[in-house]
Amino acid sequence: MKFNKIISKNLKLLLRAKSSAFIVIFGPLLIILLVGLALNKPTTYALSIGYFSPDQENSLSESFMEEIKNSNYLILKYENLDLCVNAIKQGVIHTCIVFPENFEVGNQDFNNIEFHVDYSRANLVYQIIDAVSEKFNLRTAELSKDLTQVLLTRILEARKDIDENILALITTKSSIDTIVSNIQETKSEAEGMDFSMGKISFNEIETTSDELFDDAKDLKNEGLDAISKGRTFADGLSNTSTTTFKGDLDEIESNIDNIFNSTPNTLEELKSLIDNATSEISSLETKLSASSTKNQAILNDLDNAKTSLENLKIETNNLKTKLESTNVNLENIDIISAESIVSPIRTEIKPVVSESNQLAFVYPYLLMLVMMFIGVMLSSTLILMEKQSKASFRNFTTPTKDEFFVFTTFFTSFLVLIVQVIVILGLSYYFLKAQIFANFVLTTSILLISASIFILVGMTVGYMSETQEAATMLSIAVGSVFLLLSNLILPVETMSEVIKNLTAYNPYVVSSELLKKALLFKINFSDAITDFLFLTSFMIILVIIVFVVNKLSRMTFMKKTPHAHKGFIYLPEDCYLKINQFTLKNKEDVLKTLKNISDEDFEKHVKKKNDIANWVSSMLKERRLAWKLRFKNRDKMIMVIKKHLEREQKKAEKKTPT
Amino acid sequence: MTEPIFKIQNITKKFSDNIVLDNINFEIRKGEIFGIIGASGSGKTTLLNTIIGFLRPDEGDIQFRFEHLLDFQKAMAFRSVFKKQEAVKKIYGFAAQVPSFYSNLTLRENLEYFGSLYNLSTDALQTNIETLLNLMDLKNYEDLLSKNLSGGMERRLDIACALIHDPAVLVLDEPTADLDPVLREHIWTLVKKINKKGTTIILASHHLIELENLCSRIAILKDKKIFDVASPDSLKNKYSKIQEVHIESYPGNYKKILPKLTKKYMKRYEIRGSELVIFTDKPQKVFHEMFPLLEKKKEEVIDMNVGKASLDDIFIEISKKDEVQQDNKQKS
Repeated sequence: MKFNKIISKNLKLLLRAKSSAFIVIFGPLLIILLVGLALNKPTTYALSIGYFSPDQENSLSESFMEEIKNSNYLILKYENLDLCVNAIKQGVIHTCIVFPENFEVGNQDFNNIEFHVDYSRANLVYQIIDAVSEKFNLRTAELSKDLTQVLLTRILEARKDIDENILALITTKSSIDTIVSNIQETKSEAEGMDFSMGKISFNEIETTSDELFDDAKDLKNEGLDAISKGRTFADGLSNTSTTTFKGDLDEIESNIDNIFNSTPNTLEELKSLIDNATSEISSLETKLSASSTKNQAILNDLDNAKTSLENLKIETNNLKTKLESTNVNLENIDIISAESIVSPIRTEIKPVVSESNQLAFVYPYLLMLVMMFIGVMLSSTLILMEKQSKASFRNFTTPTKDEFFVFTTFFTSFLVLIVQVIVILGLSYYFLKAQIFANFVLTTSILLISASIFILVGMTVGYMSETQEAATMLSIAVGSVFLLLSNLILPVETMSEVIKNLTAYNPYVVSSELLKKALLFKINFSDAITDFLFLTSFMIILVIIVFVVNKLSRMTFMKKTPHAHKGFIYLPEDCYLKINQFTLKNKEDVLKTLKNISDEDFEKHVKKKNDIANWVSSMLKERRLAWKLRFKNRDKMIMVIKKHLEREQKKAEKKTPT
Repeated sequence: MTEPIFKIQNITKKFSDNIVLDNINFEIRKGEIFGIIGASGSGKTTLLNTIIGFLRPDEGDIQFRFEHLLDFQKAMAFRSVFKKQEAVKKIYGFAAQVPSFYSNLTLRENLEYFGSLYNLSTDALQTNIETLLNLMDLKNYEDLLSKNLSGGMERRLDIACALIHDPAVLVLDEPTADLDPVLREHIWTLVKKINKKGTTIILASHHLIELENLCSRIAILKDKKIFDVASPDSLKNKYSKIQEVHIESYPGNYKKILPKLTKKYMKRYEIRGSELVIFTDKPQKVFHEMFPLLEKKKEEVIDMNVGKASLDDIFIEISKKDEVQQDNKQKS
């Protein structure tokens, strides 16, 4: 009964407080409506893209933009770069594409396309870049394909040329071999040539010639002797025959004389001829010597030519080998399709889940986000309502343990949150067609444990806070930290290593990831056991923290100045302001004192240092009133406090039923 | 004389270095209405919160007699409230200076809720609620949200919440603070009714005149100590020789009479509604001067009596004595 009554009381208080009732009842409906309207659409982005091309009619840039237009993005053309960039700043467009002047394929100097993006839109900028780049890459790939096709054709032609060149080289090599062989033969022949000449002794010829002349002389003399003898003989014989013989001897003698007379001329001629011959031979010898030298030079040249030819042969051989190798390499190029070179690897994105709209992907994160904020704020609000209620003191005076109140607060929040989640899930199922029943047991378990964690976080916040404002701000701060350290604003992967590691301990991340796996990937319990253990451990730690913070909060409550307790535990004297015979314990006393204290006391306690304003601020916690009482003029201060009391009186009258 | 139910023994309580209660000793008896009076800030509320065990004293102990104990345990019947807090909480009800209930619950819901915290059965709880709603004259407003109640009704609801578990002891801290005289009277009537049912009542108030007609005994808290504990009459006899001369006349134009009275006989005076109260240590002399004056001013006497000075006067007397003593000390 006690349990039911406390829960019932908590629920009534929640529902009867207008603001919390709005949060409890309409909050989830509103959130799910907004989520549904915002995200229930296919996975495309309504991007507006601006571009600027310095060339008025550039077919290449227009072809790029045509590609983007096909994706149903809004395309706006700008007259200059500044207009285009300003349009991003004003939020008219998401990105500005700037084409270069004289933009054409193959122009190395003018093929830079600039993308201007607004990085302050951190959550969208990468998606914009991806979406636009994808389209540009597509067009670029087409251009690359054309260029590559040309390249491939050229390679094929080059292969043919190489084949022909190899054949030519083989022929050249053979010719070189022949030439080398010929040179070798020529060299051999040249080496075989004898340019030496035997020693001709011209003195001997002259001596011989002289001897021959002497012999001819002797021969003449002897002939003439013989003839003389013959004649003597013939004279001795006188007959006709002897006459004939004598004639003959005369004739012979004449002939000998003729011969002898002619011999010196002949010999001179012979000598002259020999001299000429000697001269000629000497000239010939000189020529032969020169020829020999030239022959040697030729032989050297032939050697050089041979060496060069042999080198040429080696080089030709190398060239051939290289050409053959190049040819082999070219032959080894299996990819002969331009498309295969431009896109050697084809990527195909296949979703692991069949859902195709954005809502299905972000639903787990959003559901957990809603649960987190409602859980944290609801439980903290509930605790602050209790802490600030004037009834809280009476709860302390009852024989109900603190822990029981903690538990009932938890259970109330849990109940409300679960009802809200059921409403959200129901609405999501019927209106957004969210697949929530596919993995029902696991999904429910995740939701229950996550709800518990967020409620416990909220309770910690509630017990730590003194005012509703502080609790709300702290709740939002805690929620924001959880949110920031998650994938929802920025991908975790883009964060620093330390932060990335921290996100692993973020209950929002763990629970939303787990919910996503359960809803989208339909994982089973065994796959989720690690995350479950983490969440359970986190929950246990939070339970301990909640009890500790509650105890501390209770101790602080007991030690606080009495005014904060709305009449409970009034500290004496040290909390009251005593000015001579006047004791200030409330605002009425302030008025009375201001009216009645002496000028001397007023001078001392107000004009010198405004004790009254300080006391109103520090003890009554009425900082606004204290600020108004800063005037060190008695009449003004009286007027301020009077008006304040009148206002309070009117408020009290309004509350009181007729 | 009934037996004590609370024994307050050598209680000293400090907040930081500030001593609030200094060696307090007294007993509270079963079935009595025990009043604690003292100047504002004298530590009345602190004392009440210590008595119920909500604040722990720095020194001393508060013992409560547990009546449900068996005979053989009676010797040990007094137990420290700080060691038996859960049990003590069941036997007292506490109504603080500011009413303590949920504004967004109706009167009945508040009573049901607080009753449930004491583990009352549904039947017992409903019976108690009906009794209390009738006792407090709140039956007609049981379904009204508490935030819409008037000051007096809030106070009555608060007391009803404190009584929901039919406690043996009801502790009231300034139950009539901020209430007009009619509502105050209503509350005191209620307190008497509750006391008649056998509930011991401990209350702190600065409406001393009202307490003297209500309390069987009163503790005067002064300078962090118990100045005295006694019945109102004993206190009056002990500390004041001043008497009150009450005169009620028609048309009651007392301001014309007062200047004619001899000042030395009249310590001070008060006009309480249609009644003139003169505080004097020589009442005969006052009467002697008063009759001719009333006749002369054509005032028709409706009522006239002499009585002891009120607790207020005693308290002022005590305070004055204290001030004189302090002055003398300073002078010497």
